[in-house]
Amino acid sequence: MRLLTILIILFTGINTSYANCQLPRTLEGKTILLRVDGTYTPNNPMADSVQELKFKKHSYQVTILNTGITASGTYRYEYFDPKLARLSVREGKGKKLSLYSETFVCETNRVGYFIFSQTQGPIKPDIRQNTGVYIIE
Amino acid sequence: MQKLSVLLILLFSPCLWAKVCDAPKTLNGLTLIFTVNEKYGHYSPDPIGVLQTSFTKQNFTTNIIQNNYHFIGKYTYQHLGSGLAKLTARQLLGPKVIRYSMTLVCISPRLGYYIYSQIEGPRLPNVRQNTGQYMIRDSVKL
Repeated sequence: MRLLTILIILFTGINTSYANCQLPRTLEGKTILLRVDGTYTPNNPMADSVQELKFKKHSYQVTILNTGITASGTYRYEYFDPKLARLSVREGKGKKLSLYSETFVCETNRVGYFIFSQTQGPIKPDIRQNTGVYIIE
Repeated sequence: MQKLSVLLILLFSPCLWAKVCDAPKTLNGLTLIFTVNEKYGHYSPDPIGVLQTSFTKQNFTTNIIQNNYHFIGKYTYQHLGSGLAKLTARQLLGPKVIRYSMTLVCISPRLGYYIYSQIEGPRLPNVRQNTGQYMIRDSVKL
């Protein structure tokens, strides 16, 4: 009986808290870590990397933690519902300009999956996608 | 002040956030192929590889191509604009129910990645996520 109670609390508890996960309303002041899935291919040149994004009100800085390379840009954050949001960025300038989005779907309040979708960038091909896990610190 | 306004207009102007594709406006009448990225793991107990789903107005049938299993369910679909859409599904597995969403991000009119996000299911962990690619199978004009 006690075991049953523990199991009920355990699983209903987990279920409820996870099912009700929430993404932040704003990214200002937040730090997000992105871990890119997959193995290296020309379409997934950042495979296995871990990137750190630090957000101010309209701008952000990204550091590829594997290499220490940094870039910065301006961003727009769209909050569609508690579990779905999208970050669209303009990163770098001139020939190094990147335009891409990261679509976030939460699993808990701290973690979830993202889809990276690029339309322009210095590392070719311009148009490519990949996925990975994000962690909000 | 003027400089700030110009900056803000530029920042929020949609033309700056390039768009080369769009997700389907509706799934009614479409057949989609979903490939699953993950290898077998605690959070990915069904690394089946390839699923095919056919949609009518409110219902869908999913077919696991290699073993011909069929699942049926009901769905709602939100086209959120700029290449983004969200499918919310309630799938029946015999008497059991699986509830999940699939967020679609296009890269071409036919192709893109999705995030599968399950919140209820008969097997634990019933709350889990994985990713993969979707493609539209039909030769219909999109």
